[in-house]
Amino acid sequence: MKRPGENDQELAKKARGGDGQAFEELVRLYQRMIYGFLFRLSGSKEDAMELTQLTFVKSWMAIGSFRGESSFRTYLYTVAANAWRNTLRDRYRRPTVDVDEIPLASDHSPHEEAEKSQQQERLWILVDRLPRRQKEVVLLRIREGLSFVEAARIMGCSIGAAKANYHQAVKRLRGEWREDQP
Amino acid sequence: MSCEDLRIKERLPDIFSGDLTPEEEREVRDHLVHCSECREELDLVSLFAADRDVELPPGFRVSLPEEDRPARHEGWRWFRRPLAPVLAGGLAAAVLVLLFLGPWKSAPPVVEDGLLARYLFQRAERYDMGLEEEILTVAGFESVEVDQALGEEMVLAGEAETFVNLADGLSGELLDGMDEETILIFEGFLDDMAPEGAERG
Repeated sequence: MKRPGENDQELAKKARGGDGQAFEELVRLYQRMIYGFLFRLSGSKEDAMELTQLTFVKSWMAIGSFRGESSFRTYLYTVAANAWRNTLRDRYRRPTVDVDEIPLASDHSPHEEAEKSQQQERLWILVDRLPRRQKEVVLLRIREGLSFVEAARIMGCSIGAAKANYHQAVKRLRGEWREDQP
Repeated sequence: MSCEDLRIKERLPDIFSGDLTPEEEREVRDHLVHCSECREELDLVSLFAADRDVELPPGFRVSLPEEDRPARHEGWRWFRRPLAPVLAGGLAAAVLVLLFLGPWKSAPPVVEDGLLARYLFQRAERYDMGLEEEILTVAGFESVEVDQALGEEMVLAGEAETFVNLADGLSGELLDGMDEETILIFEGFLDDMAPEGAERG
């Protein structure tokens, strides 16, 4: 089975030439990742679905602007992050995180699963309180596993700025996590 | 005791991405043996990493427009219209931005431009971003090393870098190939910089 990243550039090149099937393959490879990223950014399942749809439509309509200078993944995350930022500008943020009904594929026992799920729920509440830039960088760097170079490009800032935000965020999360432990 | 080894801390997420060489992984793990702070940080990172398995909601499927080919950008059709005053003002402003921001491409970002600062202030006001005070400082033509700022002030760096891209686009392919977001920002920029009384079509 193909994995994201293996032949993205080739597919993107075809898509840029108008090959809809190539782009659909990219959608198939990335839709879950982008949905998960947007779900954690927005804190809402409905918003995440809407923004995921918007991300791929915008990416498709603007595929001509993708020149292959960065990875297709970076391009896609940039569009997704921009879509989320635009939403933020349009309305007030939700104060809480919608963490219900998130199916997590895992090999853990039901007990471990429940405990882990509770820990994650607490973590996401803390993450949701971070300033926007800090939230973006921890999600991109840790959850999405992107490099600082990619994260900086997506955030539209320098690598130093991305790292500064990252360290601030993790330090704050670690402190609040310790205080929040039952 | 507080751990100051930022190099190790920055690599912790890579344990879960498999992006470490065997040597790097050994170095990180050796460090973790005697650093409780980084072990604690690793526990947090592992929770993020476990979240990568979030599934799509049942029945949800991205659907693309039916057109075989993506449409051309429509956001700046007005650009080709006879809007001499706006166009002239916009191009002049963009050239200024290029002149002021050119050195940012390789050097640490430093804001020294009253024009940019004024525009950012307007944007901040419009979006209620709470940055007015910081931006006013910049608008007073004082240098601000954005790279050293933290938190929300990073917005400044992001916006400024967008402008570098804008200036590049103007000097190169005249906006062609820019993504829609950048074009929208550029349109806003032209709106703000247009001469008094001028209206865009």
